[in-house]
Amino acid sequence: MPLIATESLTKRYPGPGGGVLALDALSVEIEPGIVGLVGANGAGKSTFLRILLGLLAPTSGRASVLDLDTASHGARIRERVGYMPEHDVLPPDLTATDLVAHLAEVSGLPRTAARERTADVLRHVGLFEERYRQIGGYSTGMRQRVKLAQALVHDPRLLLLDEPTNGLDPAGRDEMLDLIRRTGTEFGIAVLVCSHLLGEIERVCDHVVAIDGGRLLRSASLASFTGRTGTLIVEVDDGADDLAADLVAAGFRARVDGPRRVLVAAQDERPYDVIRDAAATRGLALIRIEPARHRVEDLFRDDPDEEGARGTAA
Amino acid sequence: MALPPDLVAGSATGSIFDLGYRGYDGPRLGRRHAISTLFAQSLKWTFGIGRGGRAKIAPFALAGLTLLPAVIAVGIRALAGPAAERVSPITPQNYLSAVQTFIAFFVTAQAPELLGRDQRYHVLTLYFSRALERTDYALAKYAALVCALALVLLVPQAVLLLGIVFASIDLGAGLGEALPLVPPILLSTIVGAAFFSGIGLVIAAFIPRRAFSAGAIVAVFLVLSGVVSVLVVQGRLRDPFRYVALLDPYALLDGLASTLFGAVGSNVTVTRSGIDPGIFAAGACVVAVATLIVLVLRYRRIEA
Repeated sequence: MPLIATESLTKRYPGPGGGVLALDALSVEIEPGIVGLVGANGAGKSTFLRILLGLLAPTSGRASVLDLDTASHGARIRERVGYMPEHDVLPPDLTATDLVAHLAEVSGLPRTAARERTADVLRHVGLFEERYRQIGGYSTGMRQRVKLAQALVHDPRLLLLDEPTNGLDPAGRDEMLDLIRRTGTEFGIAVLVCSHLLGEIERVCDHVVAIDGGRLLRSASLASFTGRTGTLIVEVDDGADDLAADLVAAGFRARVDGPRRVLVAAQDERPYDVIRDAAATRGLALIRIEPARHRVEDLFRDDPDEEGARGTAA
Repeated sequence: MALPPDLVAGSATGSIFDLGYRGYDGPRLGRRHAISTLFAQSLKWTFGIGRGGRAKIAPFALAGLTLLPAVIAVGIRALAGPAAERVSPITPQNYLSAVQTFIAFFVTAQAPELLGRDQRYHVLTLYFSRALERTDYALAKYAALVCALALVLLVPQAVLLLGIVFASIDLGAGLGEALPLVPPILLSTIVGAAFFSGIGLVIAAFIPRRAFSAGAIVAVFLVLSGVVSVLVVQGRLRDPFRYVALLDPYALLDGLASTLFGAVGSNVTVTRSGIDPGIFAAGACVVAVATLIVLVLRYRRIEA
């Protein structure tokens, strides 16, 4: 039985001109593990999460979480699900300890257990002495940790994280992703992470669900996503035109991208040798050869061959 | 003392014990526990408990001010004896009307604290993603403010009653005078606290910014009662129009108390309107229930 299952889930927000269609007949089944939900801003990710929590009623269709229907068993789902919202939701005038312990009790934990788990969880997310200070004085990174802690404090079976790295600097981002990875693997809690950054999803998830305009684009294991596209970015000091011409002559799809970059479609390792040889023959200063990183936009291209080559140009 | 290396996590810090993540297998008390937790926390919050010193000033100052008339009345009674009925302006029958302004100020200070803050900082999202229904939130907050206000009002009235008992010539007579007053005191205080709280909370639920909602609450209590009593007293209103008197929250409170005590009220809007105090009492009950319904509906729809 899947962890999350939806059947032609549709959500239309009322408004002028027929309103906004946030989810359009989305049917997907998600198995336990660390799952990434990817989509551009406005793709319907947050709406999807809020329907799963029973916070929002779908216009039509149905959804179930942990085998419970969201329309009829919202409270029971929320008892066993932890939710980390995207936006700032923390009152500035409480300490992290007081807030998280209070929320643990609202989740149904008895008082003593709530206090104990609060101390445990805050330590886990890396808040130590700061937890006795008011949240108003916290940095963005610390706030994100408190948000994660309140989602974890009642030991949920499923964690829903909405853009957990929002506003974090690179170091904070790495720590947050590491925490999410550990939560999914060591703690044995299923995780659904929303992000518009495929790079982050790549680092922590086993499975990726991509949505666009409220529709399911693809749901597959991460490996099948990364295995698909191969584009190399080749950077040379000068003579990018010549290099591209050589590669095309050798039978590769290549094009110049800016004065010093050539993009090469590479389904295997053959282009590497050809690039090296071409650079040697022409005496070009080869600066780097790098497989292009996936971006969320790449997922939304129709043509899988075209996607890598154009995605890197952005 | 050297620690076993596997107990020390994170080589960068080296001093943090990582005992691994521990699950929770204990009881989960569910929705009722969620409601009682929110109620208890809100009740404490109303008195500034757990919020630092400044938050305690307003509730405790107002509680002190509502206690003052009772203390003075007891003092007068102790000095004047049974003749105090004619001397002391404060009796259990008119106590609520005597402190009506303090009740209004208490609601003005605390209703925005209870509701506005959770809206302003989007804390509602954290509540509604837990084992708590939206209706539960509204009920818990309403109950918390009603209880807080009832507490603030019952303590002085208990003092008044004790004053009656101990200032009497013999204990039996004192008890005979005081005990019949207990049911109307409880009822008028609870209904009065409920409709005052309800008005404040409904306004606070629609205006999240504290300064604005506090201003609106004060306006409803002070301005509305002032305007209505001027209209009623000066206006010589004829029949359908004299029922504007029912818009005065102080008149509702006074009518409620005088109905329950079977005594003549002190509020000019009630006496000059010529409307039966029982109708004011019914109005108070209607406002208490109606504001609760509006509050629940508001929280069903509010964005979180």
